[in-house]
Amino acid sequence: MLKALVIKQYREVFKGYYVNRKTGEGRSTAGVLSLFALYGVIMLLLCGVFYALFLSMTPLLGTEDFRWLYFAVAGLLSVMLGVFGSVFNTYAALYQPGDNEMLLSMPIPPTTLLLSRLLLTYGMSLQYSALVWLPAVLCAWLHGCAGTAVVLFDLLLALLIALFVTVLTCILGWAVAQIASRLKNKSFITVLLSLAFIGAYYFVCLRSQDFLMSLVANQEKVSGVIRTWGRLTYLLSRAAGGHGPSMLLYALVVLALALGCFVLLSRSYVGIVTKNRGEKKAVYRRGAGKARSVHAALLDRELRHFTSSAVYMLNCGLGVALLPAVAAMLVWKGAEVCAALGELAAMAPELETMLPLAVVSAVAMVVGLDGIATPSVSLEGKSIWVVQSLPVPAALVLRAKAELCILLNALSALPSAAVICVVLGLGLLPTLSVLLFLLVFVCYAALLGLTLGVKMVNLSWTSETTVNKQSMNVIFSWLGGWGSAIACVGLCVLLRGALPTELGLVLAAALLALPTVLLGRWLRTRGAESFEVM
Amino acid sequence: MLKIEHLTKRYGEKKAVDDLCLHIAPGEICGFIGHNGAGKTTTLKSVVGILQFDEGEITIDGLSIRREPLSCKRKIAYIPDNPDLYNYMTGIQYLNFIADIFAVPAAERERRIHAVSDAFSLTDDLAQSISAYSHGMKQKLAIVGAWLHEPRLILMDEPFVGLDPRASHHLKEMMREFCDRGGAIFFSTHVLEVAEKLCDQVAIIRGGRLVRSGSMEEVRGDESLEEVFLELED
Repeated sequence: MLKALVIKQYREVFKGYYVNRKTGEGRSTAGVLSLFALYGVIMLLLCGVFYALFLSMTPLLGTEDFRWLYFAVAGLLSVMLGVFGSVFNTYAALYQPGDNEMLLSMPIPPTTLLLSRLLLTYGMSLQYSALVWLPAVLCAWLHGCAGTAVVLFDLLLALLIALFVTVLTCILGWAVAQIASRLKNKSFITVLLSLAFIGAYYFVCLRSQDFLMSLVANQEKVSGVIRTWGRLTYLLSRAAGGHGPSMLLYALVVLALALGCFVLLSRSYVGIVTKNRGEKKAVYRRGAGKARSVHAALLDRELRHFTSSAVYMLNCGLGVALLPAVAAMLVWKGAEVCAALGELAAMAPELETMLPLAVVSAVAMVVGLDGIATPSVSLEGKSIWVVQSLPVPAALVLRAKAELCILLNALSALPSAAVICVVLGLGLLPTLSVLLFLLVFVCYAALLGLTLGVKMVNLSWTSETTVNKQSMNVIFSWLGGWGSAIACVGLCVLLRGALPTELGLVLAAALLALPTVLLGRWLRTRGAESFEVM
Repeated sequence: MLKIEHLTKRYGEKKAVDDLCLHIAPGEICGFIGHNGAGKTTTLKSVVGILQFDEGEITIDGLSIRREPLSCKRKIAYIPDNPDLYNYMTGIQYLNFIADIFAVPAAERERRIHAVSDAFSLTDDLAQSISAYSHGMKQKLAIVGAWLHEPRLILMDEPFVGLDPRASHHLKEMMREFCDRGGAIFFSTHVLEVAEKLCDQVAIIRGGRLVRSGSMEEVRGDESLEEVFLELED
């Protein structure tokens, strides 16, 4: 039974690999293999990035005394990425799938259903945490830290770290469910709680890393403090180095945590899934609704959809909240940042001219993650017939989707970038060039995401997580946005000798405007035609 | 009002609808009957313009759904077999959205919404999220939405499924009143007794082909509609 449930869930996640979502026809073997190969290449590329990171830390492996630190950092980073990758979806994946009622009506023990949901979350955690852990241990193996026990323990640790990540994210999901089931505006509560958790989590992680680094020079204190406060990390790092008792203890602790988490979740699972304890019936007051234009109605529809779903907001709109927070942080810590930059500029004067590019890179990376428009087509789901049967041009529907994405990102990114530029002391022209480029980039990223959303649509899903998180169009949208930003910044760097940075950014903006216009044109014509008959 | 001429729709090699011709005049209620998978929903979706067809022509009030889809859609309302509405809206938000699209004036929309929602005892639930609605309530909301812009032609796919007896009764009355005012209705149903009592015209489809159509008296003769249908199925 559990196997059937797990297969059903993973089949939904990987459906796009086997079935053409537009035609509903099965893909050829070559098509399936090429999609899996593409997935593999993306994963390998990301692994390569982390491998390069750990390559710079290999000197730690040379000394027996500091070897554990290498694995401690790898373990912490692995848990961080794992939590970041899956925490936003755990609540939805555990408690909100559309087939909960159908499955609960069958003779399936709720614990089995919960376990099947947890196994999907575990898979997600494993995917993200292994992206860091496997390159880290591979790098260690290739730099003298190898042996049968080490290799075996490191591979086992990959599974255990993912389990630990699952425990962390599930506890958050459970806490969100407990609170959300008693309140209105569940989606906003979920977003706020998730952001608070993430903030607290990263605060602790960042502090612990600072702590680790600052104590590198003092090994006695390191051992003492880590043994006291970071026992689990210490165990992990020792186990990764091939220490049998630490491995056993770490495994027992993580398994005990997982068991405790499962017991906690299983006690309340059916209650949370089937109850809305705090919801009172909203009272309807008669009165004339305010008439709006078709365009305003469509834009409002998109905004309602976005703000109604915590999964949607967290996966596709995190940067909208993040960028103003970063700008505010910079205002607060502006003096320290400027002092540090001043020191750097004294050592390498050319860095000063690179500052606008650094701002552009950072903001564009975040904007690239905010693909609000990308899943919006798939999220129409089975209710797509409504707009299709109404006298509304499909191009107008798509325009509303793109506009929401552009508006939210522009309202967040442009003022934030302006504040960052002012705090960093960039002049008027560099600031204006940064803002111009980012404005074009925001439009480009939205239209690219929407184009991918139309081309790779999936209207038959049971959980919004599938659309928001596990769709290829979302991943391609991120990679496409980031790739374009890197290419534009790279162009500016290359032209630095011939053109001032500001002019380079204006040129990059002009170049990026071309595909933006082409994407817009495609969406108005062929994209709209596709949407009409999806 | 509605003219379907030689409509053919293929899914791969299979013809879901094969050379179907059907005319519905203003004031007529036409029942569309057929076994599961006969091609009823495909035909209705083709008429609404949300499914491209391979051959034939569909016109609504003389306008082609292929060439002038938006003009056609302004004249029609559609209720699918499973009313999947916007779960992220409340009932009244959904109705206001529909009213905005059809540019129904604010004061007029209130009157129209309440006229139908009161009849269906839905008004008190309009502030609720659609996600909290039962299947029947969603069906009622879809019906309120369909009547909201005073269309000329209403297309419904199994409209009575999920409705309680009182709501079914109201819907039948509304359908009759709508057609008495010059509108036309084309709806699919498996409830042959309802079709027999309500419809002016009936069309029976089997395996994508129209096997019998005409006025209820012509199709039925001296037999019941059920007997005719079962004979044709055999």
